[in-house]
Amino acid sequence: MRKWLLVLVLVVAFYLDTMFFNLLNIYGIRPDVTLAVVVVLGVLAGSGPAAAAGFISGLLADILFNKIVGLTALSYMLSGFFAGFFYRKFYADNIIIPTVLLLICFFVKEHVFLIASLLAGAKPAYFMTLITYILPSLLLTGGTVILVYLLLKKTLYKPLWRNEKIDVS
Amino acid sequence: MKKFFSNKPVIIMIVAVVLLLVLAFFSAGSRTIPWVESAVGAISRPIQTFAYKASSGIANFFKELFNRTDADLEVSRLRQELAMNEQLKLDYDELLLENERLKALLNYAGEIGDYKYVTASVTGRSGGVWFDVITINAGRNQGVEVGQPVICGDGLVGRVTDVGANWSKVIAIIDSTFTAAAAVERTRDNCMVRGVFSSSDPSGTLELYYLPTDLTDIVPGDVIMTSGLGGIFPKGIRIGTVSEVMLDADSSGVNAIITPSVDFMHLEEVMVIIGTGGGN
Repeated sequence: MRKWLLVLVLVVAFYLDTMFFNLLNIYGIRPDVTLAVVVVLGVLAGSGPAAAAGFISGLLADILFNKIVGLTALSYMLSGFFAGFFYRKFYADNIIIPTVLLLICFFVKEHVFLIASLLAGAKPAYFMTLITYILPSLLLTGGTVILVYLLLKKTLYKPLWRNEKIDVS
Repeated sequence: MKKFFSNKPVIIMIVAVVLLLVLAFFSAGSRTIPWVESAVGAISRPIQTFAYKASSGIANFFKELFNRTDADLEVSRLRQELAMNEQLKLDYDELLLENERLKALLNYAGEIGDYKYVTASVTGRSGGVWFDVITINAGRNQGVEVGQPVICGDGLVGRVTDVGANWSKVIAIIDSTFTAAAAVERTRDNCMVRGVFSSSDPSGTLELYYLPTDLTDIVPGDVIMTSGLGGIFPKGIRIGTVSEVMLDADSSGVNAIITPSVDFMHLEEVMVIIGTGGGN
């Protein structure tokens, strides 16, 4: 059941990123919901599942929509793997760590694409792009983590003490 | 070191990263899509088509919510009429000029022949601002090849870069890596246009360059069309309208900003011109 819920969340996130927000956005500013799901998955379930989910979602998006196949997969996979280092390292109610992790991952991911576009021959104005696209999208993506985290927390989070005997002596 | 190499997840990650980097490197240019990718696209094509059309409906619903006054609807209708009239006038002017040239040059050989078209629906668009790639639901089985031009009723959309069995990817003219040979419709000046990277304007802009100052009097409002040079795009396809003219830093050349004639935010149907281009 938990696995199916996760697949459903990933499919919805994929649809929102690749279809819905392409058509409905504010001057190109849009959140990265799949990245939010992958990072939250990393902190709640560990590096393995998060990296695998990021790899599959990213590769599918690359194959179907993107110019360079592999870049989104690479970004999502590494984000999930990185987020997994914080698995079981904080309390379930702590929303700050996943949010900060997501902001870092989004910032790095956009810079990976910036470098790729430079290598492909584009000449983006860095500070203009930073102010008009990267930072507003970063804030919007940071906002989505709250929704994603609340959605996945109850089903994925396994407290450390669940299978441990409590010593009351 | 031994401990590092015995860490299985890290090894898997390193291998995956290297493979994805190699994949990214080899997929950056135009190519025929391998069968695995082609199959993934073919399987998801009906879902994509449905989801894209449904999304357009939802997006339009939200936009209509904010544009529901009679005046807004009237403006929208008049804009459509104006665009149609402009295209008709452009066709008329173009025919008139062509006729004059034909009279002057009897051995004129028109470059626009009878082309075959394949119509396709847009099934997706790349996310983010870094690249502008459109996915369409026509591919190798419909006669589409890498390099063929893609147009719609408003003008030039782009060029096919990747071809699968029943789907293709098209690089849009507003992508910052796109270039095409063009001409100013009024003055017949030959020039080049390229996509301009824009993080704040999703509808995109183009830049006209390689136009010597002493040879042109290009002004805002001039229409830019494909020149047919290079053999990739047929002559006379509308690209856009000049919105701003600027001098080079050393005043030796003129650059211009072009607003594309195609509305990339509402693109749903396109036509691939088959039997031309075809090269990488």
